[in-house]
Amino acid sequence: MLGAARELEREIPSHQNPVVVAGQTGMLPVLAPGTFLGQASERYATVQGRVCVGMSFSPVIQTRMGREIMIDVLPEEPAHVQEKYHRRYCREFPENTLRRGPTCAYNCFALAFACRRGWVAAESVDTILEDDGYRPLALGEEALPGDVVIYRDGDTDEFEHVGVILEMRSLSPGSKPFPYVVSKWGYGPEYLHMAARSPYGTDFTVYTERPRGQ
Amino acid sequence: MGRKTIWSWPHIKGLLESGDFYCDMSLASGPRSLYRRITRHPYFRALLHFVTVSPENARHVLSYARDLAGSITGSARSEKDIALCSCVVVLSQTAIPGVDGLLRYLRTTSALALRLPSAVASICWDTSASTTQVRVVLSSEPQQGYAVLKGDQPRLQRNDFYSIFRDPGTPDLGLAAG
Repeated sequence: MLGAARELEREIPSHQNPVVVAGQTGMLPVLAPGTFLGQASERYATVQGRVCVGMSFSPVIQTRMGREIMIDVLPEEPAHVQEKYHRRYCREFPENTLRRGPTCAYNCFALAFACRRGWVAAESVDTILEDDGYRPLALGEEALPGDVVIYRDGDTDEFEHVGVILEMRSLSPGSKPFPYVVSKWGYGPEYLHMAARSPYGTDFTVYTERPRGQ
Repeated sequence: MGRKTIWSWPHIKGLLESGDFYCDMSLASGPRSLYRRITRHPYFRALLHFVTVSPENARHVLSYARDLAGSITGSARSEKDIALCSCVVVLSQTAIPGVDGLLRYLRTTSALALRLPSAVASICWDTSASTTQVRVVLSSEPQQGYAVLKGDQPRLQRNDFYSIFRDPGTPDLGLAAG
């Protein structure tokens, strides 16, 4: 990330001249005053009298077909808020495994489709699925690790959540295996869980980018 | 018939700023998802009910939202920005003066801490522009100070939220029965 930022550096007009300070996500490199973040979003904020370009370093990500994906970067949450997530979700889904604590640095779509870089807008997911060759599994076709489970909103049919399949796991010997996934729950933590054991419900579809017949 | 304000503002405010509400909303995968979750949450419906009960309540909410919009600063989020998002959504469905100004401010602000309320305000702006049906009409006549949804029945009817969110100590008006 730092290397990429340096490649994009160029002189910023003197009338803007912000003092660049690091954000709180850990994503941002500290750059010298007077540098310009290239493709980064030009969303400035003032913190304690200084102009801050914190958390506005939105990477540009494209689909396989070259279409740009909408990426956003959200402010981080304070630690006292983050603790609430874990307490609650541990209570509601005690069998799930916490992979990492809450962060606003990325969302579930970014975990699955953009290497955890920023917030991928749900509106971009259709584009990603289309351009990257994702398709729903055909009847009788088995899900494999690396495929994704996608949850949609029951009323609007908009994309709500996605998880990446780690393995197909049977709950008891001889029973039908179900997807065991890693997914990030909104602004909250990343969990390893059975696809049906999350607050996003049990109605999901498995998508794969494997060509048919493989 | 003695209609009364069912919830007090401190009670509603407490719900909006509660950790439970925040955690529920935290599951949203983006602003649009957050908007959907807000509108379906019982606390939001309590807020909607509160706003439709009287124009004074709506003005309380607007004042609170303005204060939040002015006070949320820095580069970190908190429970307050979810509370602000909820107020923005409910206010965007009302016709009280000043709401458009708040929406316009949030849509155009570049404050980092207001990133989510800003995105939600944009969604509300687009939504309310296309769906006038859900705009709340606040008037003192002929509903005796109560607000109604345009093209809808008066809001003070039997509902599930009354029994759930009624303030402790508020006399049961019998609205939740049946």
